[in-house]
Amino acid sequence: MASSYFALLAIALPCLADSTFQTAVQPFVAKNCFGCHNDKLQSGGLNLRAATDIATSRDQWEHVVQKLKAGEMPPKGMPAPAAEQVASVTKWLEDEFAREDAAMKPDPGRVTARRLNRYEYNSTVRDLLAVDFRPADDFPTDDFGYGFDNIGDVLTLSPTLMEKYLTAARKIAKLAIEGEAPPKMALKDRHGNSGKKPGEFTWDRKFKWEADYVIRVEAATKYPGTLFFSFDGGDPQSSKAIPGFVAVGRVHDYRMHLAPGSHKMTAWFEVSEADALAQYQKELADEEKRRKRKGEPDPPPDSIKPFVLTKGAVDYFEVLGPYHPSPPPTPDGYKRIFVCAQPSQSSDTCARADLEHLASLAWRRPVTDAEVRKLASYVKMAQNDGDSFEKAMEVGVEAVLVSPYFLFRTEHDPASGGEHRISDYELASRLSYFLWSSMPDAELFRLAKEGKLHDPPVLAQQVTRMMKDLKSDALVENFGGQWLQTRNLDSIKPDPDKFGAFTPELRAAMKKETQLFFSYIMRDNRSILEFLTAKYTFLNEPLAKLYGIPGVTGDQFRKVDLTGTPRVGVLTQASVLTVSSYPTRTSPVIRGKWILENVLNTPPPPPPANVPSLKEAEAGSAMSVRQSLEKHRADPICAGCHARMDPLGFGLENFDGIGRYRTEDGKFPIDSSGTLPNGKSFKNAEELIHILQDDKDAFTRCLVEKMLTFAIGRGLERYDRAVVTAIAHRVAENQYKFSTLVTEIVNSAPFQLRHAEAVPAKQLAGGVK
Amino acid sequence: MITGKHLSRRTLLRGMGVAIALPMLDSMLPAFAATTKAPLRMLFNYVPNGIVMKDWTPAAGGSAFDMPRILQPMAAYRDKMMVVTGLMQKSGNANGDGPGDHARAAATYLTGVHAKKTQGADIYVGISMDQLAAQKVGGATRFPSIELTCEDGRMVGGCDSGYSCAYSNSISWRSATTPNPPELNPRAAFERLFGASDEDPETRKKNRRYDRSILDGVMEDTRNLERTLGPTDRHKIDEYMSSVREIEARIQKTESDNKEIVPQMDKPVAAPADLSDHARLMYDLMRVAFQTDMTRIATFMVTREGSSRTYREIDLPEAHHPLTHHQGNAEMIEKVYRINRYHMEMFAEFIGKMAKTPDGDGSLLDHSMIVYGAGLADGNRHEHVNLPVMIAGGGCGTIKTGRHLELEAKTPINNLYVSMLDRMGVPVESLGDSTGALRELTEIG
Repeated sequence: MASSYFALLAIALPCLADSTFQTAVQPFVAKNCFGCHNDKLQSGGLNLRAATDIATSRDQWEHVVQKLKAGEMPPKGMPAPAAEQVASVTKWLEDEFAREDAAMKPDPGRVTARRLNRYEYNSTVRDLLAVDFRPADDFPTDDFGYGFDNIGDVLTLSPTLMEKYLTAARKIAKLAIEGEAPPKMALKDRHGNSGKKPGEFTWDRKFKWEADYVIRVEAATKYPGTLFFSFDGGDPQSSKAIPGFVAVGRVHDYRMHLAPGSHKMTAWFEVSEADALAQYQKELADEEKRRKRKGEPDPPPDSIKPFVLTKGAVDYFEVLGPYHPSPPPTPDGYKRIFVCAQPSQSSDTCARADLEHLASLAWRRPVTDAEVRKLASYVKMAQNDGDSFEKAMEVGVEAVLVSPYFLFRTEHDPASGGEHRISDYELASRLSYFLWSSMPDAELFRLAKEGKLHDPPVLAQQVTRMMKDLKSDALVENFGGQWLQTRNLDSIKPDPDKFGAFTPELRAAMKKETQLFFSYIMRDNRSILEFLTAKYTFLNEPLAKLYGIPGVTGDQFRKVDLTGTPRVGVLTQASVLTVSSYPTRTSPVIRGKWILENVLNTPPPPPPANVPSLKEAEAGSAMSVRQSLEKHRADPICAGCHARMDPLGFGLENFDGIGRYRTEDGKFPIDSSGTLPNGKSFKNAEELIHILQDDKDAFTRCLVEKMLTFAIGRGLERYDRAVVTAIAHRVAENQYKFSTLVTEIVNSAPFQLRHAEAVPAKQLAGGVK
Repeated sequence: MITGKHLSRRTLLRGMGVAIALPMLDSMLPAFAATTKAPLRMLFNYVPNGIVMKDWTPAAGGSAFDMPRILQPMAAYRDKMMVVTGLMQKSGNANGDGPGDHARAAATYLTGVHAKKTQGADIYVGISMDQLAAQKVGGATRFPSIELTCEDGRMVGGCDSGYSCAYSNSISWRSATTPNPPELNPRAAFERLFGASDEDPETRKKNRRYDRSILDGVMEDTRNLERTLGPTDRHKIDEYMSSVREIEARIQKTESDNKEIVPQMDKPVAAPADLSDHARLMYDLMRVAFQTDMTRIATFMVTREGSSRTYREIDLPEAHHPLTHHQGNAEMIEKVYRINRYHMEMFAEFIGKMAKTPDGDGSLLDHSMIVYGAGLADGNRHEHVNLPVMIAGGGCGTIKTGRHLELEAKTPINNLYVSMLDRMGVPVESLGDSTGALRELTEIG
């Protein structure tokens, strides 16, 4: 076998050498492509005249292959090359790619020191010191690259941010050690019922201190009735409203002594029909008396308003307090900081023990004696100033939290440079920030200390454990929210005139649906293909109403079967449909682009320079969005990309700018059919999604690339392709299980190895002390 | 998709597009540099997505200039302002990089350097001229500069055609690779400038001292850490070190001038949803920061470049950026005009307050150079030539206001910056493509 293999090679090699780029590709492109992709026009940002070999212009040529194979190029309206020619050129190019890849040395790459981003900072101080006031919410927005906000190269640090680190560190240290002192004066906190809808009104509120509070409830009603108030689900206390007031509030105060923690208040107002009618009749009678007294004529009978029973509503809750607060209990942070076992010992020894403990957690590695001594010196300084030991420790804690070892995740390179396995401590951090967006917990630290974490069975076990932990909700929020772009729901503002249904509650519900959906696939270890194909989702009443699905009542989310509805998978969820729309209307282009980027992994190139974006804006008046787009596509320059983007978006046109199902857009009926450049056609969203899900490989690779980028915090390079291919392959082998995706990423070379940059010898020499 | 576009990693800081001149002789320094006189302040007020130029550009030149619709709100301060036409920022052009004019508009606006097209790993533009001034003369005040905005830049999914969001989110750049992200929250900005009011002066003083000790110690650790890092990681830690150094300098400054500054404004609570309320707070902050001499240099991005903010405040539910691609549609142009005008109304209110704030022998406005402008002229066509530029304030008597200065077409806007830097006491020989100073600021051009 071996000899014949070599014989084959011996024959094949001269042949390969014979067909060069110049003979195999050049004539074809010159004839079919140079018309647009030249130095001057650079259609789609592509100048093929300048791309004269594979090695230096690999991206461009991969793009060419993709376009040729999909039948998207040359665009309709231009002379088409013969199919055999296309096949021969693409084959030659693909063989070249494969040859190049095989020759490429595997490389795990290197992750640049990563500053904690805002989310990571918040959850790290929460896990470290049980302080959860989210100090980082005040920090400047983190920039993101490659679609994520945890990319080391992009996370910069300005003086403004450094100053915030200082202020936050001081505040955290104080809160962790002293707890939050109750305010000197009672405060007023109001929670309004924005909807003013009849029915129940609730408020889940956190009470920070043990104290007396006054809870004030105001009802707004035209007719008399009864206000009911229930606390923590207890028996409703009722207060009969005084009859006779019209459309003015009625305030009721409930006094109570409360323990710290969350308490749920519920109130509703019931109008008594008999009393209401009586009041209505009395008002009529009073009015008649008034007329008689003034001698006015009776009005015509049809001008008298008939009796209509209007329900009352709860207007707002107000919490007044705390009154007579008890001193705050010892905060959990205190217990985490003061771990010194011998309180009788001098505070110097304890300060060092406490700080060694804290710093090794905060800096995610063992600390040196010198480091501990320096931290302890701050405490000494404050003590010399007259501070108590506890108070002085706050300065030590602050120093721990502004250190670069806390703020950055740096990984150590051996002085020799080259590839190496990262340390177990570094691995613990990579794992915890990937799956939890937070610091490692005690178990990960223990395994790192014992040097066992990189051991494959141990590692696999840990990944499973971490996925089960609720802290992995961070993966849903940070990875899921950025991959699917549903994070943008926070800032998007649909036009209230067109989309009045889009309330803050609905916004939150949309976000929640996709989060629940993502975490179901993750925690239930389902196939990642269900992101596209699931005939189920998670809804509460407001969202079910938007979807037109009956039988879902209340604010609680539950799993809902979608059989018989036009919805399937994440593409038809309101969150995705809303973030891929304009504030006033849908955009098939944006939606098409969304699918290309996040499902098919083939983002379109940016629009060519100086070609104006299309007149979608005219849509809805003179012609439908679809018609105006079709007009646009008649231009071959635009057609290249839009032939791919637009039909994908058309498929979703039955869903409006906030994801409601519709069959008409203004005066135009919706046509959600389309034909993709590869000739496959569909009639509606469901058929389109069937076509998409057929290309399991494209979707799997897409998700692998996105998650790998998020996991290692850097953009992917060409040498990562082989890794992506291998992971995608394993995922497919394992029935596309979500857990395989995560495990294979954790097991991959880019996650566990690191290619060190050589440290200049001069620099090192300076470091020896 | 794996693009692998940044095979060549970032190297050390290269030239910054700036050539620093030799120090000038004392006699050459402008009169306002004398310590007894009021200091000169500089502010850039940036608006995104270009401007409807037909409603901006005065038809007449010189002192008889007219005030088109967008400028109308400034009518009361006509003699305190100057419209400059004919300026361009050449670095904003594609130069073979294809689309991405919005990212380039903001990134090149004050840097005058072509921005490297990248999503992440190798962001590279140049130091911006406000930071050049801040680094040279910012030591005179507690804060070398402040950067503010009214729009959160947190949108997932890329900003502009293959450019990192850092480019469209910041006009101020500390170095070629480090943007100065603007502050969104007026309360946080207030507390940074004037301290949290829940601390008494004694505590604040003590905290400052502790902070300084901690930062000293941290610097030492960092130097040790840096020695063991490769160039890329080192660069990240350099950012940290230079930030620490700046804060140390500020603490020292605060300790040495030893005065408690009480700003004449209430501490803001949070960022209001209404843009004019939000902008008013930010303008007040800048005014008070100038008045108390906490800083002399500010940049304000009303919203981010490429902003798709909707304007419910003026009954405009459509997003700003898509509207600017109006393709000549009159209805859409009118809507863009309304946004431009709305921005100007907020700005005019600020200028009114600046004019009424006494400062030395005149008003704060007299002692300021406030540039209102955009990195794009017409947002529909993405032009970087004939940029909209308005300068308000007398620049301590060095700017002859009350006219429309018509320059030769395609005069580099960097010429204006050279002149402004000179007035700030930071003489530079050249800046990017500058061809000299803009002498016409003082003289009748």
